[in-house]
Amino acid sequence: MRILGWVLMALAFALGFVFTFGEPLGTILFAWNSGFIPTFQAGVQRNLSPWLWDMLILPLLERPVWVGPFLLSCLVFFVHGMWKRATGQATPS
Amino acid sequence: MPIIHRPGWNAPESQVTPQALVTGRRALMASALLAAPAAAQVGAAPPLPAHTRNERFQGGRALTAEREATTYNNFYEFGSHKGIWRDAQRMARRPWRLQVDGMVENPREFDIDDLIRLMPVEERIYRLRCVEAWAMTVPWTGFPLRALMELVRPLSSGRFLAFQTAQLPAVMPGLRQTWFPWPHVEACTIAEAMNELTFMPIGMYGQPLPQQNGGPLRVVFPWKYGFKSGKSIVRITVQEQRPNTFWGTIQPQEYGFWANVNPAVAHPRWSQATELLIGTRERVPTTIWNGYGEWVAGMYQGLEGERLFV
Repeated sequence: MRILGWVLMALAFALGFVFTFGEPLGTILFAWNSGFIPTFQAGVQRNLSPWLWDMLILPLLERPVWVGPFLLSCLVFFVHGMWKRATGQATPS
Repeated sequence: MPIIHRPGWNAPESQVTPQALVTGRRALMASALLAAPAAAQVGAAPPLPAHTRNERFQGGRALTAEREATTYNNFYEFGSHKGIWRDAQRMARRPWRLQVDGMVENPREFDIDDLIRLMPVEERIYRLRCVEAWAMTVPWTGFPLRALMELVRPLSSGRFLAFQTAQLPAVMPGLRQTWFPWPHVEACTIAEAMNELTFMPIGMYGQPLPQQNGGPLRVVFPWKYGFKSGKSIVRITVQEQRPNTFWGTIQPQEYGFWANVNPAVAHPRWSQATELLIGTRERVPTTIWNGYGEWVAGMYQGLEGERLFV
């Protein structure tokens, strides 16, 4: 699990360097495929919930591209730490 | 058919506030809380001017129920789902200004109420065909775009019109998506603008045009798919070059410049052979030019090389 955390962290830095650290995810997706976001949005808002788009997905699209994998890596490290504490395992050096 | 246009003070009995609500203190406070959303409707539109129905323009099928037509809408600035009418109420319809500029002899900026006073307002019933394969039949109140063009007089070099939708970030959550090519622009040729079918609604069902339907001012091309009919317009520009339209920039293979209705030409992801009548479960065959061929087909002779139906 810790390896997955480091992979996600490395991915976050790689995306930041490739796409610049300030570029929103939505801008990059739009440049990749301009029709993807409207189709995705219609699928989410019409079939799942308008709220899901407005409150969760759109804020993520507005954030820089590296934020998603960075937060995921933090989550993985946190879960890994909790699991070790719960099972009483020592951290391998 | 006689049309009853109630003056603004003539409220039906059902809307009269019960006496207990007015005289009871607690009830009064409660009603004040309930009225808060209504108070937020700053900038409501005034009643429509007196007008008559132009019987030349009939829908040919039953009118869509007003409630269905005003609660099942596409307006991308407010979202991609059909319930955007709730959010759209936050957009004020007054004051509202329309700028008409570009290649015209007489560029003007109008206050919408001044413009309405200058225009020949009438009611017309049109069929509206959405590219998503559903349809409505709506009584629009408005004026022909041609009447507005005669006021500003396009130059001979002006070949296209661009219709720009309002950009109001405070009430339009879609504008947060900065990667899109805002403002929302739709366009037509000068011949299409001067066609007698092309209409600028300011109302529907005898009421001021609701925000979710493009209020306070929109354009309607009834022989084209609905996305071509720009909503909440603040600017019309006459220009020589074909404008880059919003959807034409984002998904050109699905939403082309011409977008005339044709059941034989499918959308890349679905058939256009039939259409669902909103408010019913009835699906009926679609007709070419949405049934308005006698008015418009002649405009496209010589343009067979263009993608006229996508």
